[in-house]
Amino acid sequence: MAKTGINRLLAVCLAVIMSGLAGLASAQGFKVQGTVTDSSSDPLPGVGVVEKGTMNGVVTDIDGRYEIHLSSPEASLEFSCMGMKTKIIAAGGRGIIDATLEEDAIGLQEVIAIGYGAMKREEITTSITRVKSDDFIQGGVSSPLGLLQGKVAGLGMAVTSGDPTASPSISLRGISTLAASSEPLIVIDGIAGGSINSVAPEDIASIDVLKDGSAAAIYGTRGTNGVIIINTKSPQAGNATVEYHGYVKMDGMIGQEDQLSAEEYRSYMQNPDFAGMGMNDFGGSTDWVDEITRVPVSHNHYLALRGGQKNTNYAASVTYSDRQGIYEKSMHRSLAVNVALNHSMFDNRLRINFSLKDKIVRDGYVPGEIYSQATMRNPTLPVYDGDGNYYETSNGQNPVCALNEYTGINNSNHLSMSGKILIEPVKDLRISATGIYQGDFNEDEWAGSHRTYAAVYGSEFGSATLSGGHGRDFTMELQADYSRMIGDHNISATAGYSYNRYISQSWNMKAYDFPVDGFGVWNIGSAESTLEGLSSLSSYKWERKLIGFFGRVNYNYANRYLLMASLRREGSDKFGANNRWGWFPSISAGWRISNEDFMKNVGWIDELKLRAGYGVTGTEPGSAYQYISLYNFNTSYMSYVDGKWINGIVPSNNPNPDLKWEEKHEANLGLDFSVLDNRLHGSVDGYYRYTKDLLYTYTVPTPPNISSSMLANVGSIMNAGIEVELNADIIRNRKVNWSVSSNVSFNRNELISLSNDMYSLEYLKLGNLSHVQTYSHRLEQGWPVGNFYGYRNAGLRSQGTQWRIVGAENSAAGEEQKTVLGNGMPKMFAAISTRLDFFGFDLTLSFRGAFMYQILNQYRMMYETLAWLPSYNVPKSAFNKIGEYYNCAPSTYLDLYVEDGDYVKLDNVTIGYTFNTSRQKIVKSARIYVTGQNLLTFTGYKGIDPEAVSITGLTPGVDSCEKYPTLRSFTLGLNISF
Amino acid sequence: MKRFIYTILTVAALASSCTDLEPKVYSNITMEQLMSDAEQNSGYMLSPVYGQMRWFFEDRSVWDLYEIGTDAWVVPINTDGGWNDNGIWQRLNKHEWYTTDPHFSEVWTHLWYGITSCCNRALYQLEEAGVELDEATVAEIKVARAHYYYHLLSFFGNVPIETEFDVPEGYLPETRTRKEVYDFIVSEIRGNMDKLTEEKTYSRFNKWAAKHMLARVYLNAEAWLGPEYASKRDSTIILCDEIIAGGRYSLDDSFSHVFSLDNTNSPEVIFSIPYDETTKSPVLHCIYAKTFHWAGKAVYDAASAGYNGLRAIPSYVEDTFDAEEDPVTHNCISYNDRRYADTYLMGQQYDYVTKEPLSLRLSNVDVPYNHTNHITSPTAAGEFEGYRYGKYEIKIGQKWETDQDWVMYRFGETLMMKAECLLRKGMAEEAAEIVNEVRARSFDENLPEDVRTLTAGQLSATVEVNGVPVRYGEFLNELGREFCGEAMRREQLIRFDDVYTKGSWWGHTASGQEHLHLYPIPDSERITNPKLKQNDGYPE
Repeated sequence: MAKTGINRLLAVCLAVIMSGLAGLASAQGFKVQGTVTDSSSDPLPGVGVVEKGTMNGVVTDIDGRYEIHLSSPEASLEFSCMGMKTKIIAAGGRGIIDATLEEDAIGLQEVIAIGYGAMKREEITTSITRVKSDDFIQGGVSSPLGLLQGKVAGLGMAVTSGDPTASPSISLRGISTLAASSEPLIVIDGIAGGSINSVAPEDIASIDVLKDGSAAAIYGTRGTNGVIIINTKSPQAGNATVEYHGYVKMDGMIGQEDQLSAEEYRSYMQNPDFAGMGMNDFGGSTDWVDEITRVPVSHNHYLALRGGQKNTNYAASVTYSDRQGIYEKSMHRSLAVNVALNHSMFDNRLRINFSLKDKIVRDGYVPGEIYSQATMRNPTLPVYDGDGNYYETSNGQNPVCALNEYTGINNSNHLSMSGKILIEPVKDLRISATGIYQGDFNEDEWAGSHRTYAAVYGSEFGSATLSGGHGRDFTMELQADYSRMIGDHNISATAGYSYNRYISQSWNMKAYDFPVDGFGVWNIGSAESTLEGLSSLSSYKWERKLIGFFGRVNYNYANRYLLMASLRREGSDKFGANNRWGWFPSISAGWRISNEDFMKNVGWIDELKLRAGYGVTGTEPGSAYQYISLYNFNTSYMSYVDGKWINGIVPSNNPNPDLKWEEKHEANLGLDFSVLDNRLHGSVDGYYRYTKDLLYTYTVPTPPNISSSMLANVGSIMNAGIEVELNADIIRNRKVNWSVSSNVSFNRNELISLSNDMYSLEYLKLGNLSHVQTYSHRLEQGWPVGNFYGYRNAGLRSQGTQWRIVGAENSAAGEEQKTVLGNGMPKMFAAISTRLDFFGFDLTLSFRGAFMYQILNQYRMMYETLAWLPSYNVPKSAFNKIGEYYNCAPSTYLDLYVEDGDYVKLDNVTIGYTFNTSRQKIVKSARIYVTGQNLLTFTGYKGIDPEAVSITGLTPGVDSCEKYPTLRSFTLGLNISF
Repeated sequence: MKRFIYTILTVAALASSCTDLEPKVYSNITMEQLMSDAEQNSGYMLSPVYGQMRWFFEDRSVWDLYEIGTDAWVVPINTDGGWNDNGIWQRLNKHEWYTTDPHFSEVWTHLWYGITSCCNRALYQLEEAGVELDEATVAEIKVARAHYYYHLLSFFGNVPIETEFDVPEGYLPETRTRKEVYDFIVSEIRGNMDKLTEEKTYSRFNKWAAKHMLARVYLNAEAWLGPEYASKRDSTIILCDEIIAGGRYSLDDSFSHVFSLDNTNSPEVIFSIPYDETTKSPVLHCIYAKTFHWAGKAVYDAASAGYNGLRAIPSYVEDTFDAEEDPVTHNCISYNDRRYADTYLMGQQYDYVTKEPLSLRLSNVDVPYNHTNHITSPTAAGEFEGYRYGKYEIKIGQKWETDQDWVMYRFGETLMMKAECLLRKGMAEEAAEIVNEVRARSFDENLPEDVRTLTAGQLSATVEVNGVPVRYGEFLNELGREFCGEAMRREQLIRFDDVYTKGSWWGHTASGQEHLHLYPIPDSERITNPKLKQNDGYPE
């Protein structure tokens, strides 16, 4: 059975059918019965039991029991089950044969999701990394992506914010697109395009990351940035199990910018060196960061129920999460329900699955600039004036006022419903139809009171913005699977059709000047602006359609030679009629060297597989309708004609009728190995990605164009890299287990061209450093994405009031003096984690790092100069002389502030204890643990946290002043099941 | 296997009926809708012809390029570092701009959008849709288009000339010489102006507004194209005389009324660009948001505070106006010319409600909210230093979204254009008569005549302006008094013996670089269109 199995479902179903057939054929044979258990003596249901060399087989029931009639008492029984090592036992005339299956140490038998199907790990020919729940990052992880941190070679991830509502920023194998998002496609239980945050991390059984083009091409157009397939814990036949997982988490700041305290500020004020610098003592002593922060406490509860019979089983879970942010009002509360129901009948020839996921979320958010306002605000300013009003100046809003007087709440609901029916009309052929609805509803409240800066000094005496959106995503998929084994030839094929339609509706209303404070957004009709016709109202609706036909063929010869080919024909309504449809083929092959005869004698090698693949994926533009001319009313073009204001109709886009698919071609070469009795195993992958017809909003000449930007397919980009995953089981015995797993990846990126016959462009200026009115990055042909581009300094001049720029030492510098100052994209990521299990205790340590890149420290760039002293606080480092002068020059974008970002983090330490539950019958398992996250950072970077810097997009590596600081956290958790 | 194939085919056949990928549009107007309802939509389609002109007075737009970098206005760096903006304002002031500076690309984009999208496109699409526009409407659109070209001619000189919307794929416009652009504008206005209505239209081009614009183009022709265009001053005189003879416009009795919230009713306004609070962006930036101190809210009980940027250059205030200042406090003591107070916001400011003098606590000291005619330095301007733009009436309850209407062409200028040409033709007496006619409303009639009026001798003399001798220097000063801040100063300085590059004023040293008469073609445009030539004197 193991040889013929294509996937888990197939294995089970074939076994069931065979058992039916066998029942007829050999009812009079030699009867054998028994129980199959795992190493901890728990019964194993669903294990295939086959008389070796025949089609005669049965499946164990929920108590692990089986009964089979053998053709001969001397026959051998083969027991196989996913995740377990296959075992062969000669019957030897015995009537009762109990079997204990060992867990497959490296999960070679594991079934990996490959997109519209699943496959045994040993048969995989593409680059896929599976992370199982045992290996997930532990301790209060809020986003499922966080579970993967440091677990997948080539998946760069950075937690850029301590905001409880935020997700980590991720990139897979560099940057292979310019305009579109670099987010991988998320597939949740076979449903593509879901929102990653709609799943509770506790509900996830495993995550498969499809990295290379040949793996992702079956998803055609959405797989360019890779595919992350999330498999939730599925219903399992057997006694009902109740699982509870709860934790409490506390966060704290890692550190902060070294701005002056009030005391330090006053002492510098006394210093004759800094007299005349315009420092102002307002008489107060305020620690602004302390004023706006708190010690947040979060808790999370997960309760799941799973059970059922062989034919009908279920899984249901409820997750409640209450996460506090470092600021009052910053929070995330959610309640998620996940229900799955499976039923099979007519000897498993008809199977029905229902799934329902719903999550309601209430997020609280705060003005984005309060942290930067707190770090730059004069520490001698009091929070309140004598009358109890906020003490305001012209130099930025009082952050306490901003925090208290603005309220931002986002309510959302994420619903996913799906139903699937699968029939098996003839043996080996399965046809299924799936219907999926995903609905996202979102309502955003943003209100400012009568006490905000804008109310007291600006034009809005109380303001309210109520906006909302409703996204509806309909998918229909038809699929047929066929598999057949003829001798050593094992063939399977899949063909399908996918229809996807997404409709987005959004609306927004904004009013200001409220007669009474306290309505928030819930009485917009009472605002003066509404009465005067000045409130703004808007609504917008758009849709897009994506239709795909796909097919895949797998061929396996004698478990030695593996071949997979897939093809997807996909159409998108974001392109004109001539460019709508694209072909996205892939082919990959594998050679299991270890199964060759000549390797039989090489005992120390358990598994050796060489893989090679090539695949094409496509990217469609982010927004719809870019190829057609659209017009709209726009009040910016209103004119006053004959005593009346007439609205203007103007083009709302600069259409490009030639718009077509952006194509990524990727080749991947890999080696999987497992040696020394599976103690050392891992993989090495090398890849080359070439993306052509890059979609990007290009600057076009005006005239003849009506506006200066147009979305066009121009240029190409290349990424190449190496990924290594290495795992070692150093100690492996009953009481003590010690394992180490590590991965490292290198990526090289190069923009090959930005031009075609229509558009020619040598470089792009990217990234707006609005505070210093210049751009941060330049992207030029032949360069990697993410090059910082600016001036090199040659010290200060003019008593420190101006910078000397290399190349223009004594004059004003221009564009010619700018050079490359570094690159914001890490070239190397590495992670290592170790787990030690001893006598019920477990200890996990994870280190993670990013290397070979630079960060623009915007806080230093902005405030490490005494020129700001009349208005703002500055860091202590601003009082160091540079050469012979103190820096009194205006904030300037210089090489001085582009620092090496390399870091290594002790990211996670978890200590757990698993109770021995074998002596009683109520509790099946119980574990408590404590986790510390983001504990230590080893880096030369001068900012707070080098990881809190986005490394995605075209302008990576900018550490912004307007940040939500990243946090260190401690979690205490309990996991118990009954 | 047969059955398998059959099944696949069935699935495929079923699916192929679901391959419809025609996009559905909900919230936009499609080309088909636009064209089929063109008759009914033509008003909306033509509205942007004028609507786009409201962008001229936004931050970093047309107004800035006419006024900042002259001797009249400056945006200094404040002591708190505000308005540093990577030096873009400093470079304008010193005439050391980069081809990459944002003002140039903004202005370029605003002007070309007006030409290609608002004028050429509307004409083309309405014609395609079979909407018959009457001759006057077509003429009006072409004159409005010439208005966009006029600013391109003044700023950049050598630019493409585009009149077609429907161009072949890959078409790139080519640079045309300043003379070609000038000839095109002249012929467009001449060919269309007499087809326009003679009635007053306020915010649309009528015959008189077109003639006024053409008069201004002729007035500058000599400075733009060379001495052989000196004869165009006769054309200016003829056009101004036609406007005068038309009898539709007259001088307003009150100078300040021309810039009041009620200027819709001013007899002097020939062509205006109106704004309204409800139409929001774009706004008239220079009259409030750019110039008022944030504490200025209290002065007008305003809803929005200003950004404390734009200030009058002290040397201009001092040299141009006949006013007396206390040399220590820099506060104005007395003045005769009412335009002085009507042009600037100056002196101590008072709370609108309490009528109390306003002050601000800075560095533990109460600093009076008093605009003095003194700025410490262009790179360190104190909170209240410098007079502010005060020509337009500020509304009680003023918002950033302005309600004021910008006066683009006014009868006072018609008269002064004529006077300038007469003066240059040697008819100083006739010129003086017109100048004094315009001046009269700005002086108390009890003042001595030599205060109220200027003589032919004064006007034709060579006097020093900004440190250099200038023929008709007093006339230039008079233009400076009458039209201060009306988006004309750059042209005036270039026209009068090139004070623009030869003169030195507060914060600005003479360069003598004549290529600065033209701004550079923005870098961003030349990257995308290699057929655009850079103006002489700028790095290629």
